[in-house]
Amino acid sequence: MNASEADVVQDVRHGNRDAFGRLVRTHQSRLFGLVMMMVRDRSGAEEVTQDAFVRAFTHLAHYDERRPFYPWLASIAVRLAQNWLVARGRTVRREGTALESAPEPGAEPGALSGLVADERRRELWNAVASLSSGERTAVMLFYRDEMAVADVARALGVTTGTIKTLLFRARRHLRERLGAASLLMGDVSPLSKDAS
Amino acid sequence: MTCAHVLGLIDAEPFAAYPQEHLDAARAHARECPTCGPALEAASLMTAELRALPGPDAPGDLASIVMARIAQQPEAGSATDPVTQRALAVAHGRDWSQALTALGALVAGLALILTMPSGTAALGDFVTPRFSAAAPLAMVPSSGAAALAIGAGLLLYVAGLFAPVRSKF
Repeated sequence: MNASEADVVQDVRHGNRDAFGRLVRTHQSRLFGLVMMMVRDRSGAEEVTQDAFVRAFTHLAHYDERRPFYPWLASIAVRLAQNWLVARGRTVRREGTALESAPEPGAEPGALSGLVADERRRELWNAVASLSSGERTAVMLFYRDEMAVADVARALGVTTGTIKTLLFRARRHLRERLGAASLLMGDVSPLSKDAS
Repeated sequence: MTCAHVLGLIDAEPFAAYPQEHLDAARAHARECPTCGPALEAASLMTAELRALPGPDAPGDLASIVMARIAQQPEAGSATDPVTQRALAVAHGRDWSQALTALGALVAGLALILTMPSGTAALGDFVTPRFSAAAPLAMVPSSGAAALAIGAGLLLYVAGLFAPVRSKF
């Protein structure tokens, strides 16, 4: 955790709850993107993201300041998102719809594409969104959120070996999907366009 | 080093801790190989793009909604859900209560060992006639000092098991 973020946490712990707003503003986009990728439902992602911040505030006494804040926050959000998905599944079952035939929330990856403005980025976002739940969550936490493999494993409650396997498979699948898309577009190198 | 090895290594490099000499050998191979060279370049670009992966913008009112909800909460760190509280209480009380439990068990075990008559034939001497029928289940020593030691050990053991767990939260 950087010094200013540690100061903010200290402020909050000493009763300045408005200071928590700085943490919210700093991490809201990153966290919302992660949750959105997990639950693939905008209203569900809003609900889970809000709950994650509130839960982080009420459990701030358990946060270890020696570690970065975001991985801790993300681990809360991951668990809440998993709970949300389970609850969503229960609702579907209760309403008498076979789970297998019920669409996963936002299961059509294109449903997310309207939320990402740039076309090339949208293509990559859709490719990630079409991965399995574990793969896309691992990709988001490891690459986009720059969390260490051990932190990703802790957040997801699995071993580091499992995370490495998920990341390895995810890269294979992404290469296949982006490669196919690029070939359709006449581009030999799947990731060469707009790469910087 | 074959192309299959190099391609596998390229895929896993960002998150696997390979020895530096393996990576150097793979890069040397990739520089010469028409298959692995572009694959290495594409893999590097994929890593860069994934690290820069944008997401949807958070709702504009998210921060204000969160802060409004936080305003209704008790102080920061005052988690109220009982499951978490209990887990934390156990976590914080675990050290001394476990030590007490272990100490009690050690004292009781040591007393039993020191007062145990040698040979199985002496079991009748070890157990009072009153409890001889239940000897396998409840062995009560005839020696007063040993009984006191075992009693104290068991007391410590039970105290450790049922010790009230204090929480800082």
